[in-house]
Amino acid sequence: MSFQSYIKNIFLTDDDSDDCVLFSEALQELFPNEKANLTITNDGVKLMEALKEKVPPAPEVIFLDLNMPRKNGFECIAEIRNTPKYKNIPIIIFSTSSNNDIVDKTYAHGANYYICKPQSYPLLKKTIAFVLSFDLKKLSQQPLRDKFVINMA
Amino acid sequence: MERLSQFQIKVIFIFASVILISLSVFSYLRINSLLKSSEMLNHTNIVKLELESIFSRIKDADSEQRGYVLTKDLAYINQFNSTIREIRKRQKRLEMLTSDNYSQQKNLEALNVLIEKRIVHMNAVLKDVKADQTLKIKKERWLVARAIMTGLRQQTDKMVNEEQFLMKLRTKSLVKETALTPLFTISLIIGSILILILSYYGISKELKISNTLKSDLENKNETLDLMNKELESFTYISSHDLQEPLRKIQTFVTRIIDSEFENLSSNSKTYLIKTNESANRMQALIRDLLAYSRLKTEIFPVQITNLRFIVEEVKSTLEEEIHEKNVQVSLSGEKNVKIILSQFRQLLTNLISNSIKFADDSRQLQISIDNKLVKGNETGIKNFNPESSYSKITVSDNGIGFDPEYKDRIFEVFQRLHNDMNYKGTGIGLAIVKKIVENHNGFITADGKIGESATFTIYLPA
Repeated sequence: MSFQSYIKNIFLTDDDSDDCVLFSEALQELFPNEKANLTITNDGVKLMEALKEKVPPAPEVIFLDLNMPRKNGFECIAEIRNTPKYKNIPIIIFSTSSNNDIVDKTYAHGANYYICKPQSYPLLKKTIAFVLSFDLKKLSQQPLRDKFVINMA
Repeated sequence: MERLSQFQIKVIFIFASVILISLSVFSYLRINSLLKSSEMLNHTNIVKLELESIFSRIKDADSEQRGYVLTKDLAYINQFNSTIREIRKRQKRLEMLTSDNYSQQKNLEALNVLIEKRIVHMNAVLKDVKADQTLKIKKERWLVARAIMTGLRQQTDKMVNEEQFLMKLRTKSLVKETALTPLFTISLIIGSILILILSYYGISKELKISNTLKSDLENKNETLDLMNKELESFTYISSHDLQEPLRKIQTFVTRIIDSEFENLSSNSKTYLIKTNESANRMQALIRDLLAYSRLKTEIFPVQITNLRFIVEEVKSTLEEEIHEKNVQVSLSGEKNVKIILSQFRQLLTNLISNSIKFADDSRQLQISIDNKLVKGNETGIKNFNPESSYSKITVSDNGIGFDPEYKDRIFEVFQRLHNDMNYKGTGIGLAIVKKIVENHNGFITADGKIGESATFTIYLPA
């Protein structure tokens, strides 16, 4: 398995450092030979700062946690979608919550996909691999609501 | 505080209304009798006036007759005739005025006879004088005339007296009739004012009590709201915060199993596998507990649904297990059920996966679902309306069954009949089933035979 050639920049914003480590390890194991450029930030404010600093080029995808200090995921989606420079960046929600109301809210805010943090490491790898196998077009369009949540279990 | 009963309030108001109505009736009667007595007075006065004026007209006629006799002037005759006409008119009017009184009518007849006599007499004198201008009327004739006049005077007085007497009599009886009225009216007014004051106090007391109760209720509602919010935040904590560290445990354990497993001793391998299983079990517990607690708060409307449709959905959800264990699911009976779709789907999923979990591996598992319409009195359930229709849905299997002794306990949370690790479960599945049936205002029973079968019977309002 290899990276699609266009994916070079991945942003991950999550206040949980364990999840960040697991994510980057899974990514490393999935694509050991690729130079994936993973930018990790721990809250929404830092994400917006990182975007300001690094765009352009815009990241191919942002994995975004919802529950974070200072600026939460919802605020980040709104801000990104309202900034012309960033508004086309695909956002994938990466959250513990499986609450339907929250899923609906992120869908309404304009997130592209929703991943409920998997319960096991193999599943985490499988999920990341699945999402990164999407082509650019599929990733940047918002799917129908019933295809919005990615569940690999 | 003592409270007025609904009955007492009714009595007070009926009492007050009766008093007010009688007050109005008495006032009406009183005003009526006052009117009547003034009318009577009026009547009496008119009769008196008429009588007097007839008498004075006769005197007029008399003097006109005498004037002619003395002067022979014809103008007197004319005057005399018009006075007579006037007298006739008044006689008629008197007749009308006394038409309601028999004795006055008799008196009037006597009066009329006298008047007639007097007029006849006067006419005779006039006629004689006209015939012979020199005629001298004899003294006897004047005496007769005077006698008639005296009679007339007496008769007139008699009638006036009688009329006055009558009026006195009538007013007396009226006064007697109405003498009590003022006292009675005043006491009625005082009584009704008292009742009004009393009921004002009663009602305001009542209002105070109900206001207190209302604010009590509002306070309790607030507390309840607060408790609900706490419960919600507890639900959130268990759904999010408790699952978070658990997910970490699971992820790191699987991380080791995924990449470092080969480097572990065989004991460590066993322990790690057991750790993972426990974590998974805890996750299932949290998930099911959450599902159970959510059932209490979410109430949806019921809808008529084709049972086959739900069964097919559940079959596709459990497709893997059904395929793996080669389970045969059959459906018979009535087509429709009246259900909360999402909840009933969960119910059926739990029952079927329960059956699959407790299958007897020595034979093919057969699950039969049946739906029948029954009347409330056929169900033997006390709370049901005997005349209403109910859907009787039975889900039975030929699995390992259970001891009927436990048929009530199996619906309780965390109750498990099998300690055998082969039959894993959280012990919440059937509690959820029962809760869902209760949300439908239905009833569920279980029956089983060890080693043979288990049957769940659900009654839902149809």
